[in-house]
Amino acid sequence: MAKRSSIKIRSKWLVGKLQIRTLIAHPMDNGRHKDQNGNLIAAHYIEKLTVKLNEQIVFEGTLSGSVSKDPFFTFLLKHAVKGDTITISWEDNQQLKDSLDYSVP
Amino acid sequence: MYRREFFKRMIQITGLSVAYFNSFFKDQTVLASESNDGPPAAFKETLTRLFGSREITPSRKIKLKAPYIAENGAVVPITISSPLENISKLYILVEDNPSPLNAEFTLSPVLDVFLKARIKMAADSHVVIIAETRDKLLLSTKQRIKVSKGGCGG
Repeated sequence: MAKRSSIKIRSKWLVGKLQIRTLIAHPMDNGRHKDQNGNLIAAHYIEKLTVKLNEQIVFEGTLSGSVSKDPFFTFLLKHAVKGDTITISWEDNQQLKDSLDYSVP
Repeated sequence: MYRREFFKRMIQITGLSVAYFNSFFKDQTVLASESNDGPPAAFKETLTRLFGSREITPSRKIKLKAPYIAENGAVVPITISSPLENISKLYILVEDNPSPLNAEFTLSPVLDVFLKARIKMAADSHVVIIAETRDKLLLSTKQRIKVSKGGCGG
C-alpha cells in the first residue's frame, strides 16, 4: 500500500471562485515544548509552503514554529477552471518535504 | 473698586487656565510614554528587521477576523481578507509571542486577498496583520485576542 500523503486538499466552487482548503499533517514543534521526561523537543516545523496552479507559483508562505500543529489554510482562487492542476508542496527545517497534485473537479 | 475686582478676576482666570493647560500636557506625555512601552522589544526588533524604518499605516481595508477569546492558544483560527486588489504580501505577527513573526505569505494576483490560517499564541496579545501592496505601501490592522490556555510550550 502506498504511503498516505501528508497533504490533504479539498475544493469548493463559490460563485465562480474556487475555495481551496488544505490540511498538512505536521507536528510544527517550535522547540519550546517538553516531552514527558522534561526534555525539550527539537524544533521541527514547515518553513516553506508553495502552491502552484498549472506549474505557476500562486502562493508562497514562509512559516515559523508558531503556526499551529497540522497547519490548515484556506484561500480563494479567482480564475480556475475544471481540470486545472493545483500542486501544494512543503519543506521543513529538517529537510523533509512532500508534495501533492490535485485536479480541480 | 471695580478695577480691583477686575484684576482679581483676571489673575484667577489666568492661573486656572495655566493649570489646566499644564495638566493637559502632562496627560499627553503620560499617554505617549504608555504607548512607547506597549509592544515588547522582540516585536519592535522584528518590525525593524522586516521593514527597516518604513512607515506602516493602519488601514480599515485590511480585515482581520478572529475570536475575542481563544480557548486554546495552540489553535487560534484567524481570517484575513481585503477588498484591495494589489496586495502582494501578508505578514502575521503576534506581539507577545517569543518569536513574533508567525508567517509571511506572497500572493499572486490570481488569488483573492483571502486567507484563513491557524496560529499559536503564548498569551493574551495583539495580533497584527501587515499587508504590503505592489507599490510598496505597508498597511496594517490589529486585534487583541485573549487566550485562556497558552500554546507555546510550558
